[in-house]
Amino acid sequence: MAGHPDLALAGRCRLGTPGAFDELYRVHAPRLFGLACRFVGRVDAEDLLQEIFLSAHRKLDQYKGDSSLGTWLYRLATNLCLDHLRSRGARFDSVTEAMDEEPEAPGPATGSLAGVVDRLDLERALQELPDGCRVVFVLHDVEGFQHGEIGKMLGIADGTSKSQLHKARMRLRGLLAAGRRERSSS
Amino acid sequence: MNTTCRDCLERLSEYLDDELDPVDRRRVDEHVSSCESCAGIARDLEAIRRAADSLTVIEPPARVFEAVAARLDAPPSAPRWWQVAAAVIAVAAATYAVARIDRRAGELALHSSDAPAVAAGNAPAVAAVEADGDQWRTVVTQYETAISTLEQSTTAESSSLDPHVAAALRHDLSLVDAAIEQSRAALQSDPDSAEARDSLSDALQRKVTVLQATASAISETPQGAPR
Repeated sequence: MAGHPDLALAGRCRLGTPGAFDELYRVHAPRLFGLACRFVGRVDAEDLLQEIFLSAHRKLDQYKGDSSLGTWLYRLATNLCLDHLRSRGARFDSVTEAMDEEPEAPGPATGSLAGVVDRLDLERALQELPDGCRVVFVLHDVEGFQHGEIGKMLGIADGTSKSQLHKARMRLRGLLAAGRRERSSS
Repeated sequence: MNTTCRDCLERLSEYLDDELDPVDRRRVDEHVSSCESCAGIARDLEAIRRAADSLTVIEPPARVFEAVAARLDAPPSAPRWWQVAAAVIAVAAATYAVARIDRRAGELALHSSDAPAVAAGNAPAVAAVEADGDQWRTVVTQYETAISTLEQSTTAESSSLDPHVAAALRHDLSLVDAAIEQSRAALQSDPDSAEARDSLSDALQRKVTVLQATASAISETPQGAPR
């Protein structure tokens, strides 16, 4: 079997063909930067994106064409993002350990979002979440992973992933509603 | 059994993700249809879910790629080819050094007159000397291969060197080449001479060292630097 067509681009990158690595970066950096921003915040995401592509450059000989380069890079980026969060140490661990807390009490319907959420508001509110539940929310609701997959990535039970996702959504609802109230009162 | 608001809210995410079993799903359905507060929260969570699903890529600033490109253009931290060659030679030389020690131990055994038990072990000692000769030839071959490789590259790139550095390295090489010639001449006269073998392998090792120094000097010379 010939392998994925991306093998040719990977090969040109390995050989140092002018423009090849630029192409790899140009095609894949925006998606990976979005992932990194939502995982670790905008400032750290720039450093992390550098590390992702430097690591990819070092490891391109491990790419065998079993999947697209995008998928291969995405896995690499996800692992580096999680490593980065783990390197923050206690903060990430304490949040993942606290995943079984009761969800916050819901606010009254009058403080609700009326079923409308602005994407920019959501991006801002995401950064207010604790690392643990933010990561689960990003992996499930933004990136489309199932709880079983998230559990394997984070080393937690499926049920913990579910409860953390619920907590993240409820907290986001509170943050978004509070932001809307602040804007309307100012 | 009546479903309370608390029961409903605990299951709301799973309800929206269609992960509840039919019984629980029907209970939440019934509660949401009769409780405006929980129905409002369900609509909000669904809106958050939809918004998350529509989040798009984020274009990184140009400085990120510039930083990546600069770091890729920096001198590699991985060992250069001549360092790898040196490592190979170091292993071979160490093997040969051990063989020298073994050989001398064997020579002591061969010349021992007060130890019949040792004399009875002469055969292994002779075998050790023969094995030593094989190892010596292997080491010489490896040195010669490495020298050939190093010479090809350093000759091609030596024009980038500072002239004073280049002259000093050429002088060192001429001395080492003279030592190699002398050792080879001694070996022609006495092919089994252990001293001549040691002398030649030592001289070859010195030549590798000088060529490595030349290669390092070339690598440390900035490209396009004034000469």
